[in-house]
Amino acid sequence: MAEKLEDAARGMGVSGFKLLRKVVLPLVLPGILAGGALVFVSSMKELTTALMLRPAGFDTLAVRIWLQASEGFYAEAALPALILIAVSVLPLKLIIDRF
Amino acid sequence: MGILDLENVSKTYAGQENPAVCDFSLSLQDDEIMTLLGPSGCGKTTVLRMIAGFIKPEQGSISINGELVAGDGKMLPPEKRSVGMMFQDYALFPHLTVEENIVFGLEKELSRKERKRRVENLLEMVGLSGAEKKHPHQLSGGQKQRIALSRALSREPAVVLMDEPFSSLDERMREGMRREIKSILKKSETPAIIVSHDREDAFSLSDRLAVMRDGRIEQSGTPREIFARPKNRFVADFASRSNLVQLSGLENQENGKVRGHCPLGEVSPLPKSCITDDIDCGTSLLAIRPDAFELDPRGEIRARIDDYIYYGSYVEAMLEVETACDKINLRAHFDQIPGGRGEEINLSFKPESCWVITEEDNRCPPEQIEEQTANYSRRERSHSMS
Repeated sequence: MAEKLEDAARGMGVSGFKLLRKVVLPLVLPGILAGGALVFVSSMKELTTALMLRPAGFDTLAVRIWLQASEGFYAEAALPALILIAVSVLPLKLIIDRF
Repeated sequence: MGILDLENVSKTYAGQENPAVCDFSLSLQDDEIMTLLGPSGCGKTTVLRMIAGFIKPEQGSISINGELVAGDGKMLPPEKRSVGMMFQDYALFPHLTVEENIVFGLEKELSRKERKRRVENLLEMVGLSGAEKKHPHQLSGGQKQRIALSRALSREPAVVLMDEPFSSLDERMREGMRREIKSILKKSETPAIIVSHDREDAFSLSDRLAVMRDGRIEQSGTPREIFARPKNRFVADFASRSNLVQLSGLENQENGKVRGHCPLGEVSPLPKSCITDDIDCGTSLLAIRPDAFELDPRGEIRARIDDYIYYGSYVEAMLEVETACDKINLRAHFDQIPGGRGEEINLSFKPESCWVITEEDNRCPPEQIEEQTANYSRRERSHSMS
């Protein structure tokens, strides 16, 4: 963010927390949201770490899909796969709409 | 005591040997527009930022409206000073509308109704009524500038500061905006300090201007004084691009007038106002402005056109004259000068457009001045061409 904008705000009597809330945050928020959305998507589809670290009986969508598909139960894998796609599309749509 | 007073202000940036601003004093009177003019790196922006409160001066004091804002161990932060600053690239908040930009930070001080009225008044003054709900990205360069100015004026500051206000506008736009900004500032009765490296901006806008170099004021005065009566070599070169030639031999004529000699010939009569006791024919220089020359078939100066630039309404030519070692810079109407390099012409010059410089410039060897002003001229030239 341009340092000049902070200077401009201070020149107009706004500093400290108010400056953060009224200028800095609104300007960096899209970046924060986009970053968050990307991380959200990649953790949703995360498989290897989930397989190793999950407590017994706790399946993420990705784990469920992998378990079913590796046994050949493709029909059972289809539903979680669809949910995964839907959940991942939502934040991406949010990013695309904002920019 | 003026609206704004700077007394002996100095500032040296960490790790720098030379001060950016040195022993700088200035006083601004009611609704006066003053320009700090100088090549880049002369400290003019540092002065502006010290007034605004973004930089703390190391020595000296700054007062606004009689109130000490910096100096004597006191340092008021920018948000507590009564200044309106206009930034070089305007620094409008991109996420806010025009209206929100203008009354930014005024929520506590003014009621909703008052804020609305203030926005309306300011927009009317800058000729952009109805633009309240627009965002900065929907505005053109000139419109952004006008909004930036109304924002700088919205808190009714004691003084407005402008950092290179016209640097991002194209030539045509500049002319109009200079006139407009001047009239807006006068209408709002707000004094202003403008920082610029552009001679034309400085001359057309200011009531007073200060030519700066190396953190000091070389000369301050009305544009007319600076242009016609430069105090030293640097000002003559920077402010009017005058030709500087050695003055040799003064003679009192019978009619009371004074005649001088220079490598280009005789100057007669020398303007009375520039004749002082300090004139020393060994060191004094004669400054001849580029517009002082006339094409004259009977003129004494025989010159060869070395370089020639056509600007439309005028031409600029570099001339070689046998008797002078430096090239002569000339500016004239196109019809006067035949085009073409190498052509020989006869010239005369008007003595009333000359000025005698007596003050020696011992702070800076001539080569360095030439380098500084050459950089400047080059930039200026490329600007005019584009």
